[in-house]
Amino acid sequence: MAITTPAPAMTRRPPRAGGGFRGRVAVAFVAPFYVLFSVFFVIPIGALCYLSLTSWSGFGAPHFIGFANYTGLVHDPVMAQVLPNMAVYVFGSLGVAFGVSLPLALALSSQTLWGRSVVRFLFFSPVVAPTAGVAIVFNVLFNSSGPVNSVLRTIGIGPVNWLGSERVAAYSILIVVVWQSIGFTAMYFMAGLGNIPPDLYEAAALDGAGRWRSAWSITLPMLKSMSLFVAITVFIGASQIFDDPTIITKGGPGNSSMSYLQYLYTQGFSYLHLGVASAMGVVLAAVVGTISWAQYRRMAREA
Amino acid sequence: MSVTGAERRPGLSPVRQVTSDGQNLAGRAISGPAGPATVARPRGRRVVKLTRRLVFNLLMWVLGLVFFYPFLWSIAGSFKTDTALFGQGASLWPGSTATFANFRKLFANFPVVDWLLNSLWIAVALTALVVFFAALGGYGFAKFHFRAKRALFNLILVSLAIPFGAILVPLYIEITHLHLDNNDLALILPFMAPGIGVFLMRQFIAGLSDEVIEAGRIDGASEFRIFRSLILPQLKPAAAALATLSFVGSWNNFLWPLVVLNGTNRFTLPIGIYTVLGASGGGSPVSYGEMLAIGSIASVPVVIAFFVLQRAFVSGFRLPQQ
Repeated sequence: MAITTPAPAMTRRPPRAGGGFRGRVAVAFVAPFYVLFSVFFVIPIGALCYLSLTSWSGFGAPHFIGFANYTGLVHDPVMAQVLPNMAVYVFGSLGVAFGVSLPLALALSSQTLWGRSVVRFLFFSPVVAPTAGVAIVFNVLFNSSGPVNSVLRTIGIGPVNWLGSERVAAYSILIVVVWQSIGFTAMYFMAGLGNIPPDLYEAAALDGAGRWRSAWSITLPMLKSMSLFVAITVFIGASQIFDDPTIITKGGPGNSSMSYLQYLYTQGFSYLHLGVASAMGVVLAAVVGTISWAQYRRMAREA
Repeated sequence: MSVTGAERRPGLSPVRQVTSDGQNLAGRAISGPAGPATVARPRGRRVVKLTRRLVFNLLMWVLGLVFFYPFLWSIAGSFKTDTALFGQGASLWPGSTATFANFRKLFANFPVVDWLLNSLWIAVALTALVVFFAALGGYGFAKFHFRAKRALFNLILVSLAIPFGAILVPLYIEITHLHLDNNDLALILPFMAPGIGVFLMRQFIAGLSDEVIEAGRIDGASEFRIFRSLILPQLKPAAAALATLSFVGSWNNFLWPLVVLNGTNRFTLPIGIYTVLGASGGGSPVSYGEMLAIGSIASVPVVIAFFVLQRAFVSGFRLPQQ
């Protein structure tokens, strides 16, 4: 399928009427992307690297200070709170994507589900609600006298201080994030399921393969690249969670639910420590970028 | 979901029915042995099968409703007074306390219509541009050979891999240098040719046949005309998938508008909601009901978009498959 890999290109019919002409036209097709990419991605990345080595409040000229912003981050006590939160968000989201969204996608693709499109909508409904709106809902739902606690009270639990306790707050945020994203993630998996050629199952059934056997030998392997894609997407998304903690808890109580990006934003736009925020940006780009780029390449190569 | 058709088609040979059963197994559906349907199954098995289905359906519906509940509760809550909101706990029906006051106060105190229109036009314009530019780039990568193609494609992967949050500060500085801050264009220009779009479109277009393109060339159509008249119309499923991502992404975008917009009338809905939320502090008159009301308003367009695009998303989203 892929044109990038050399092997199929060899077996493929050579391009007609002179590949040179085709080549020049292709430039016109891909050029718009690269123009925008240069202006709104390459330039900012360059500026990011430079600013991370400076002390700057946005006024006057940036003042070069070497790696002081980076060493400052290492000793920053808030970073010691933010990084564990990031781990909660990332691993929690990944766990739910594969532990819940994947089985959910299988169930929602089932022929025996009555009213399938309605049930799908029920699960996808959180996706369509803007985070800012969702945040309000959970602010009320998680309120000490809100519905969640009133339900818990009837079965003799709680009340849980969902948003006011330093130990619980990050997990409450995770619940909201996950509630919002489960349906969307399932949709990716459903797209992956839909792309499996049905004749594979026909062949397996003719060979006498049972239900579990064909799930194990066909469905899972065929979902491999979609799984990789979901893993990267969820990973990148969870590494830069911002909306929910900002609106629901403001990162509190006492930074206990503050996300990495929220702290970057605070450094940059509240404290006007643009150098520190840039250093945080470089670290984020380097760590998350390297991991996900490697996975993307793996996926593209499998084509 | 091509699976559905075969089973319902009448007059299939027994062998064909076995195969259609096999497909269903894949979709986690029918239990029991894959055998010709003409052979009657033992009664006990059928009961077990039916019970299983019943339990499965019950479970899915209950879970689905639990998922749906916060959404429904927020819509219901926008018609309640704050006393009722907390007094009634988890109940949905506002009963005799039902009121439109939240909406009335909201529209009187905030430029909600402006916010709604800003959000809508930005999301629609951005989505159209994203689909166009992604199709353009995807076509270039899928159907042409050119120098440094591999390296250029890897650059797209790089842009996909780096979280947007990383370039938040320098992009903001750049936007202010271009005097685009507090301008709708700041929410459109940087995002109108996303790497993910080119990636998905390339994937989809690679699966289309070359014959149409060749026929177009023989007929003497220009390369752009071939793209516009012969390729674009074939891209509907992929375009719908990408449009879903783009529209939902733009509609719900919070961080970037928060950074670049500063005039109240320029706000998009999420920032507007944040403003309403912020106004609730310090003993100001904004009620929880009003917050829920604006949340409900914000969810309507996406509900519609979702219904329109959901099915196409599932069929149009393709990745490299082994």
